[in-house]
Formats: sequence, C-alpha cells, structure tokens
Amino acid sequence: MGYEPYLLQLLNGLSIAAILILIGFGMGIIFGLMNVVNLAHGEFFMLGAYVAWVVSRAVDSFWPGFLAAPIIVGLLGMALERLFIRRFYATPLVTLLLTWGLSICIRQLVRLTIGPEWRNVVNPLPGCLNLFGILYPTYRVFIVLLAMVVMILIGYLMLRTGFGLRCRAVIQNRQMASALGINIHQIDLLAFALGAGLAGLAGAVMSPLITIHPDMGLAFLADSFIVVIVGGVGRIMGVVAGGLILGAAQAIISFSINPVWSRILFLLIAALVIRVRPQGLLGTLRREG
Amino acid sequence: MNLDVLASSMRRLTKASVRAGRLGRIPIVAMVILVLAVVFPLLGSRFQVGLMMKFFIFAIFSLSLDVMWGYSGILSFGHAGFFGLGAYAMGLVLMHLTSPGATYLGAIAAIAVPTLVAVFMSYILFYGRVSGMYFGVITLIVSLVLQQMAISFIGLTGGLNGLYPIPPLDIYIPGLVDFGITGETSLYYFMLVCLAAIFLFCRKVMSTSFGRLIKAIEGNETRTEYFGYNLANSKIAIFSLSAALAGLAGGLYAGAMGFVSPDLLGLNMTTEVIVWVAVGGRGTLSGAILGALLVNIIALFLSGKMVTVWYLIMGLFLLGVVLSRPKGIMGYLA
Repeated sequence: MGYEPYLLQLLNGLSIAAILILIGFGMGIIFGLMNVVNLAHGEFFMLGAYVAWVVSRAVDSFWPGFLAAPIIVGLLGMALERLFIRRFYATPLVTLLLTWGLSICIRQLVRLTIGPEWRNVVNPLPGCLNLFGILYPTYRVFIVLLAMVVMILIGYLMLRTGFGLRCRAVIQNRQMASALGINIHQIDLLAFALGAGLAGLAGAVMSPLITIHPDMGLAFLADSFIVVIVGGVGRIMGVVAGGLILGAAQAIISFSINPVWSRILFLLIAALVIRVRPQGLLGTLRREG
Repeated sequence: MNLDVLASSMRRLTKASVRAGRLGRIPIVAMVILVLAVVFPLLGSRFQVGLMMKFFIFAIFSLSLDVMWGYSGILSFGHAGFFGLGAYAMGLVLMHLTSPGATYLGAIAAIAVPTLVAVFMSYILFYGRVSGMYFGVITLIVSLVLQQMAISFIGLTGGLNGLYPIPPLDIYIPGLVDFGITGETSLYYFMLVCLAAIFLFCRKVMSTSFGRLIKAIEGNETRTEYFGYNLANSKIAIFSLSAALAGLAGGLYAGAMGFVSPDLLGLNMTTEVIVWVAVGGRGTLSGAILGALLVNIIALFLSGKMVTVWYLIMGLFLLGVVLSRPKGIMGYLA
C-alpha cells in the first residue's frame, strides 16, 4: 500500500479543518472581543448562502454572490449590533436570549419571503485536481486555499494594524482599554460587522457543497462554537488550532459513517477541553468581570 | 352540575377571604382556575378535553424550566432535549415491555435518563468553571445532537416517523388495580393530578433551605460561594432536578399521546417553553403553568398553516421580553 490513502485522509482532514476555521473565525472574533455568544451566528451563515444562491441565479455566475455575501451580511450584522446587541454587553446572559430571538426571527422571515424549499448552488469549480497522484475535487482545494488567505488576512489585521491593536486591547481588558481612550463602541461595531461578514463569507463558500434551507445555520452555530471553545476564547488564532484538531479528529473516524457520530465526537472533545483546559488550547485564563 | 350555585359560592368565598385580608388576588385567581379545571371535562368537547390534557403536560414541562431559570437564573437552551429524552425512554419501555407495571419502569426511565445526561453535562460545565454563556450554548448543542440521534438511529427510535403506537399508561397495583389510562377524560384528570402534585412538590422544594440557596445563587454567585456553599454542586442539583421533571413530563406525553417524534427534542420546543415561562413570569411556578396554558390556547386560534408566522411571533416575543423586561402575568397580578 502506497502513501495515497494517508494523503487522501490528510487532504480530507485539511478540507474539513478549512471549513471549520472559516465558520469559526466570525464566532471567535465576536465571542472573544465582546464576550457575547451570538446565537444568530448560524443565521448569518445561512444568509450568506442565500445571498450566493440569489445572486448566482440572477447573474448566472457564482463569484459575484461570493463577493457580495460577506458585505451584505456584514452590514446586516452592523445594523443588528447598533439596534439590539449594543444595549446588553453588560448582561451576557440576556444577549443569549436576545440573539436567540433574532435567530428565530431571521429564520422565519427567510422562510416567509424566500420559502422553505431546499435550494442548491451549482459548483463553480467542478472537476478534480491531480495532487501527487490523487484526484481531489477542485472546489475543496479552493476552500483550503481560501481559508489560508482569510487566516493570513485576519492575522495581519489583528497583529499588524492599529485596529487589531485596539481590538486586542479590548479583549485583554475592556475597562482599561476604554480608560486609555479607545472608542470601544466603535471597536465593538466593527468587530461585530467583521464577525458577521466572515459568517456570511463562510455561508457563501459552503453553498455549493450543501443544501440551502432556512434551518441550515443551527448545525454551523454548533460547530463554530465548539471550534472556538476548543481553540480558546479570546485568541483569534485559537480558531485555527481548534479547526485543525477537530478536522483531524473527524478525518480519523472517516467520512463513511453517520455524520451524527462526528457531532458526538466534537461534543466529547469539547467536554474534554472544558474539563481539562477550560481556557482552550491556546487561551490564557481571563478573569470574568 | 349547578354552575350558578358554584359561581355564587365562589364569589362569597373570595369576598370573605379578601375581607379577611389573608388572601391577595393570586390565590383567588388560582382557585377559580382550579375549579374551572375540575369542571372543564363536563363543559368541553372530547377534542377540547384532549387538547387541555396535552397543555397540562406542557405546563409540567414549563414548571421544570421555571425551577431552574426562574430561581437560579440558569437558562438552558436545550430543555426540550430532556423532555424528548424522557418521552423516548417512556415510549421504548412501554413498547418493548408488555408486563403490567411497565408504566412504573417507564416513568423511572423517563426520569433517570435525562437526569444522568444532565448530571454528566453539568458536572463538566460547572466544575470547568466556564462562564454561564457556555452553559446556554452547550445545552443547545446537546439538544441538537440528541435530535439528530433520534432522527438517524432509526433502528431504535424509528427515525423521522418516531415511535408509534405506544401503549397507554397503566396504573397497576398487584391484586387490586389494573387501570389503563385511556380516553380523554381519565387522561385529563390523571394529568391534572400530576400537574398539581408536581406543582406542590416544586413549591415545597423551593421553600426548603435548598430553594433559598438556589435563589441566593441568582442573587449573587460570588457571595454565596464565600458563605461556604459549593456552587457547582448546587447548580448540578438544580439542573438535574429540572431535567428530571422535564423528562417526567416527556414520559407522560409519550404515554398520553401514544406517539413520539424527533420534533419533541427540537429547538422550537425549547423556544416555546422559554416563552411560556417568560409570559407567565419566571420564578413564580404558578406563572409557568399559567403561561403554558395561555400561550397554547392562543396558539390554537392560529390555524396550522400559520406555523411559520407563529414561530416568528415567538421570536419577536423573545425580543420583546429582553427589550422591555416585563415580569409576566404573575408580575401584574402580584
């Protein structure tokens, strides 16, 4: 037996990890920065997929929708932050209830306006690439590359720009950052928009691979949350570690079996992390204000 | 049944008690509702009695959330998971065990299975000392996974079709009674008694020192801990109690309705129970019952085709609860 089966598993693991990383980033930024779990995060993902579907039907090409999804969903996130979420940063548990209400409303509005039917987006990159003797779907290779690009861009944004510096200051200590003259309201707004936009991007990217329907976001809410807590809340790059570990775990137990088992596996890994290392793989313990 | 006599005697009784100053408005409302509940099968059609019986089960479910959310402030976003676990446990026991007394075993399973899951979950979460947010989201994820399991482990759960037909509940005392609870009226009274018993049980628990400890946790966690109480254990206890009651409600549902489907574990069900408690006013127990009955009766007036709109209303209602922070019906009565 040659190296091919191992390479195939490696590629499978990488492609799952890339998807998990893409969906985890938005959650990681919002949760890490504002200490808010956005239960409507899956709906941002779902809206991204719907934008891709609507645009690809209108202009007969996938790529305009792919570019439009993060912008549209990001703007929506901005509006929701301004209207609702801003008012409840002091009471995180209330934001759970609030974002759950938003999540239901978005889902039902989509169901009422676009309809509950299952939709599909045509794969824009059909066919396979020959990677070291293995034929692998081109689109999955594209997702891996895209995840790397997003990773680098976010790394640059967070570690090399003034915005990133202020973000990290707010993550470390909100009150102190505010006292030092950082406009935390502005940071919150931009970060929430960024997180929502990334969820929208992930939805658009995933749209050719999955069935699009109003309830699709819930599973991705679950996955993105687990990625973030495994990687470590408050560490943006923790998402990468979380995504890689969960991707590897899922590749090891392989695709063929029931997808429910992979969710159970994710939950067990999350349970283990919470019990053994509650700050996550890369996280440092923060004092809860 | 002479309703006029009943009504006038109720009036005299309430007047007397108000004069005596011992009763506020709440006990009067409660008494009126109790009397109405007892005479309802004489007035309503069989269909209505059956519906009301179902709402009583929902009220028990609503109570189970209220003992946790209302008193300790811990909110589970996957409470339907425990309801559904109880329902499947009872359904499976009743379907596979035909000997008399299966109902008792089913009830034990319906309580034990969700309780074990709750103990396991809450042990990891509360001893992990992660923030309250984690709890909300993890409960949501667990209920999602439970629903997926119910859908995909077809051999055990029947998949999307669920379990059907489930034999009825049966009160069995060897040599004395073997009474299968079938028919709307007997189910109705059985559930009414269950609801009343569980309500009194919850009220008793909440008036013990344990209940006061739970309330103290909502008031100030840190201070409670500095008084020397084991915070994690108390939270595990209240979460497990809540899961046990939800499971019992689910078990009663399975036996009464005769079928169980994966919808029972779903997030819509969780949303509904949160709304029932919020409408009634959390932390009051009777509010949880009132909310469950009222919201379900209102939902009746919206036809089946308006399900989408109904859940939209539920979502808007949650937003309203958060934005205006009302105290629910019991808040107005008090």
